[in-house]
Amino acid sequence: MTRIAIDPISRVEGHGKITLQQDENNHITQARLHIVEFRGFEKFVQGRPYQEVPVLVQRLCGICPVSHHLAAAKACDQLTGVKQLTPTAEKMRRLMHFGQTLQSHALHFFHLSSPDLLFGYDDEVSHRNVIGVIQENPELAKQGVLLRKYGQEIIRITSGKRIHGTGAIPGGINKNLSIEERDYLQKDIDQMIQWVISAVELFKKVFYQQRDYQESFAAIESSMLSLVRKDGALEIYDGGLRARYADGSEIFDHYDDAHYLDVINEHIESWSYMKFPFFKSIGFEQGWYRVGPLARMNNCDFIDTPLAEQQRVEFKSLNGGKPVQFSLAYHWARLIELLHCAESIKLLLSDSDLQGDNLVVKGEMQSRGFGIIEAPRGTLLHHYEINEDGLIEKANLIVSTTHNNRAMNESIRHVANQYLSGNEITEPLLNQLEVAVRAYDPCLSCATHALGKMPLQVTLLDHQGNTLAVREKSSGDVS
Amino acid sequence: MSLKPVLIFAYGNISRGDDALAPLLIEQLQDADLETVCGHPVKYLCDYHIHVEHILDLQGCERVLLIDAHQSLSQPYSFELVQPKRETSYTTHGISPPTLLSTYENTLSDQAPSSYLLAVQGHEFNLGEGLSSSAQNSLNQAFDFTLSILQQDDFQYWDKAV
Repeated sequence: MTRIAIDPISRVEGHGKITLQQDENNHITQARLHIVEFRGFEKFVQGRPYQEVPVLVQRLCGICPVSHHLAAAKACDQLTGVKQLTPTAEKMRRLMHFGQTLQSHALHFFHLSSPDLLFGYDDEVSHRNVIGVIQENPELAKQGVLLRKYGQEIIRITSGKRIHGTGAIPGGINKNLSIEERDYLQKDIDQMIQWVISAVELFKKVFYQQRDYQESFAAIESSMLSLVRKDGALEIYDGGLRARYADGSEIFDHYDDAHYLDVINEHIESWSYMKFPFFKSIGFEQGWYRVGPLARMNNCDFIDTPLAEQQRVEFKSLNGGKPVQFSLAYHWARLIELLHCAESIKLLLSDSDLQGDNLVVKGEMQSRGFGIIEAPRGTLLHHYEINEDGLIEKANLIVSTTHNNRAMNESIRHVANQYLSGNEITEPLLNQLEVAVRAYDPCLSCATHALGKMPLQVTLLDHQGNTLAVREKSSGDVS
Repeated sequence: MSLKPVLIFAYGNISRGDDALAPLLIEQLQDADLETVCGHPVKYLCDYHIHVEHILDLQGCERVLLIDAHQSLSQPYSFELVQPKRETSYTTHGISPPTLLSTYENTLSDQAPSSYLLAVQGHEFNLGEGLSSSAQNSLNQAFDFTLSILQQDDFQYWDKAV
């Protein structure tokens, strides 16, 4: 056996590492994407008052702090015995979450995946990055920047701050949306919707031009997990858990978050800090699944905003109404969600409940609280247990990148088998591996951002762990 | 006519050990309560990373001071002028200071404001950890240095300090 290690994938989000294991015939039998897990999280929150948690957990991840903020706030709602928020509180939180998802998906399409689409998946990396997009398509890049900014403005206004916001609190929210704030956000929303529509059409144009490639690249089949609304609609803030097999048949549906441990188990491997969640009823070997935009698009019965629903219908027709499975379909699903977010923001901004004054409700304290939301990258679960003094005694998190762990490994393995020739790790292979990983938009997390780390290192090891070759990619400045 | 502001932009995570260097330094600078820098008003900004939309924060600024922790620095801090530069990188949600300026110029079709990077030496970056003792020393020295250049009455001292 020969092992090929690629480490790290990214500098900013933490250390990622890919290990490929070959057999004697150069066939990749195993692929492992190593990701820095939330090490020390339990210690981080242990002993802290539960009221602090929605603010504290935003420091876990600099990429999607709002998702952690809202998941923790939902868990704290349960700790304070609150089953139903006031309309103002729930809608403010939804607005915040739509803003977060909009800015996250916009970054992914306009600045991470669009280089792959516009320049081709084999293009050299210096051309495929964000600056390549800007130089070749300045208008597209500018739209991406302004969409990001718009989402960030929603977050700032609803959470009270640009970062470390305090908007969501146990049992509600600490501010409403003033008329001035509403008018400020309303003036640009139609433009945002138009830009997103253009992005969806651009993606589809590229997809249909290279449909065979798109559908075969990193193609795997899996079960899917997501929240859905009671009536089966796409839902990213609150709902029941729905899981489906690869053929679309039901595993479970509308499952309550408080009982997630009845249906999902977490496996631990010695070689990784990551957990490996799986459906209990299927077992560890076959019970892995995918989360995120692709799972949400496949699991929901409809979308409650008209333009996004129209796009969903076309998307689902790709596989005759059955779940769409190819990995690059994540991009399409993400764009449909981006459109849904923009439409939903417009609808919410005209809802006078956002100007209501009834912000918080209270109930009887409970010892356990669960919060599940659909973060931009997939299902995010927070679980806390507190003592009589309201201090955190136990915490458990399952983040979207963890749910997708094994699916990403399978996609990487598929790509490596397709593109690896002998033992040479070529630039095109690296590009293809990255394209496969990027489809899932993993948060390599940890939010550490110090200067001075290597962006990419490739190591080739033999079956005894001896290094056969090392290939490093520095930042590779291009003037 | 009102003068353009000086932007002080620190980025890092206060809950990840020495990654807190930049947020802590900007806190101290804010506490110093500088009314002006070289006669210009001051704007403060703190975030986890540099993102593409931060080009909009740079717009209309006279000068920019970026502050970050640095893992491989051999001295407590360094101070340098940042040049716009297109840098290649793999999948990443954040960008570097040179790329920020390059993005600014390409997207906004304008010259980016003169920008300087203050890098402060850090060692440990684990979740839930406080600042290491050596990073505390670097922070103290970096603060003294930064305050000294911000209190000058002319930007030429910035260039001399590079």
